[in-house]
Amino acid sequence: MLKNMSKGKILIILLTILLLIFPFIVREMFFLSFMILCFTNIALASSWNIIGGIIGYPSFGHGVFFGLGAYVAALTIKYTGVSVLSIPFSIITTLAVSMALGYICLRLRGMFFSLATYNINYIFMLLFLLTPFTGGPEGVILKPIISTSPFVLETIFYYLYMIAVCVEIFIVYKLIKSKIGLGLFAIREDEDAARTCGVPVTRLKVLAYALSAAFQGVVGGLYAIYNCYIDPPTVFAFSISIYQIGSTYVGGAGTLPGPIIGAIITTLLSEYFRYTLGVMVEGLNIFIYAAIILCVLLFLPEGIYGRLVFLERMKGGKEYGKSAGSGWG
Amino acid sequence: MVSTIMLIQAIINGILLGGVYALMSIGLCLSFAVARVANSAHAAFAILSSFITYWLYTLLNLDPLLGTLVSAGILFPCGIMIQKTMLHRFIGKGPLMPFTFTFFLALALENLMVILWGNKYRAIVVPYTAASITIGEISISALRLVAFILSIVIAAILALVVKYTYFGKAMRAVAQNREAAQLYGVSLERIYALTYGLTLMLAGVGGGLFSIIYPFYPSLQAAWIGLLYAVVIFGGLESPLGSFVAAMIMGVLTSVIGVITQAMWGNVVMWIVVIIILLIKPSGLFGR
Repeated sequence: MLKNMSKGKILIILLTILLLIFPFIVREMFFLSFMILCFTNIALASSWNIIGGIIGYPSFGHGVFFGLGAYVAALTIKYTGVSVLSIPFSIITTLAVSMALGYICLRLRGMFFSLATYNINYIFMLLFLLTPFTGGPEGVILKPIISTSPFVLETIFYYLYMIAVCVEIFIVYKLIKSKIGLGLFAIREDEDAARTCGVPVTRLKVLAYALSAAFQGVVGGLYAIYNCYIDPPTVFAFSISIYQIGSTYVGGAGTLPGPIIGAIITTLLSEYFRYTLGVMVEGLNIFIYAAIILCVLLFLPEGIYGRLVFLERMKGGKEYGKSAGSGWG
Repeated sequence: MVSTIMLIQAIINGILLGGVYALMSIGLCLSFAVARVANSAHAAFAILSSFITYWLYTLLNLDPLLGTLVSAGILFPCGIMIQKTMLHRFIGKGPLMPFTFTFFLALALENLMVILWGNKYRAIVVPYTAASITIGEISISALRLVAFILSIVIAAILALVVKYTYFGKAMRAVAQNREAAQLYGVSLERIYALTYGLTLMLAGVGGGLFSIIYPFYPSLQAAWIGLLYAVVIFGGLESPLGSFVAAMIMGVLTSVIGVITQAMWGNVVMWIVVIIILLIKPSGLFGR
């Protein structure tokens, strides 16, 4: 049976098993918390990748849907008390809001879209700060979903986050392989040509934006339940938008494994810097993080995975590699 | 209740502040129209200029209005250097990469300022901070008036430079058609470098003038650049005149709303206005 499977599939199965038994191997809260952070960043980066990488419409205030998802989940729990079942409400709300916003803003091309969505994050933070219904600046405080030991709780959330990430990656994988995915790639390469060939450009763009927003909403909702406390400055923090963009570019925008690799690397780095440099001088860790991203953008614009693919092709044949390399950047 | 006098006062304050906003958004427009660089680091460099002005005043006792010009002079070669060493890699690769790059540049710069000077409010207080001109019941802050006049003068000088000098003509040529300009012997790299320098200089003047009127801190840049982008989108990205008008409208709008309710609603209303404009005319008020 094993002989029929490719190397990649075996690797994925091994990885899944390892992730499944991970909480039972390391019986340490710290590693579980770190893994949850990793999952959060992977989910955010690969959902940003749909809009920013695959169709090439970088949305710079994308963290807004994270915050929105978190708030909807928290408020649903507060007013109805349904716990994890509040996540679907997050999905519905983020879908609705992103479709409305996407319909308006996606009429703009590429970068103009980025500029228009630039301060959505900030505006929503202000809105949530100013409306008393959502708790205003005090935020929302929730009770833990079940009262048990902190380790068991952490394990439950580890699995919840893991399921969310796996489902998301699976959907993105199916999306890339499908006809819709081809349409999305066509939009990135040449929007006018795609339109001429009969690709429903506007519909696909709104779809990609809404899908990516919904994933952000799921992660946001999980965050609210996990942390039990949210307030506008934390869930609408601009750093959430920044980190997912950074992760995607480090790994390689527009590829499936790119954002995953990028998110793992940047999470490791930023956590390491936070506990070593960040405690010494305020802001030093973010400065170094930004400097690393700047270097990646300057010297490795296709990202780590993009470079690996390129090197693989170079190995395949010198002639082919050369011709492919000329048009790569 | 809001009286008529308060409203008129708010409108005048808005126009005066709008002048400073206009100067900064013109810079943003310029670098986009000519070099295709949407300068996300605009506000970060403005805050840097605020700090330079602040330190020139605190350490050397240099008047902040003069300090503004000095810090603008410092930022000009900075801009040329950044374009020559980093941004030139993105020439001809579409506008997205420089946009993303300057975005992270702003993050790096913001945190560099946090490291150096801490993330707390600073304000420049000069002997004439409270000075004002009173006409009837309306009083106009002398400092804001001077900042406004200085902004308008600099914008006018810029307009003359762009209209009549060789550099200005070359800039306009590049903005219209890059290939054709190159065929006529315009060096793209030089024009791009000078344009980015000029952009940062305008950001510097804006930031310096702003530092005299309002307190500032490094993390202010994230909110500020969003606001500037809203103005520029509102006015049409490639039209300096459009962003001038848009900045004035925004200044008045935020100032009037600040009088009626909380000042924070000003930003929200501004953004909603931008969204409505986008719905009606996606290229902005004065866009083609």
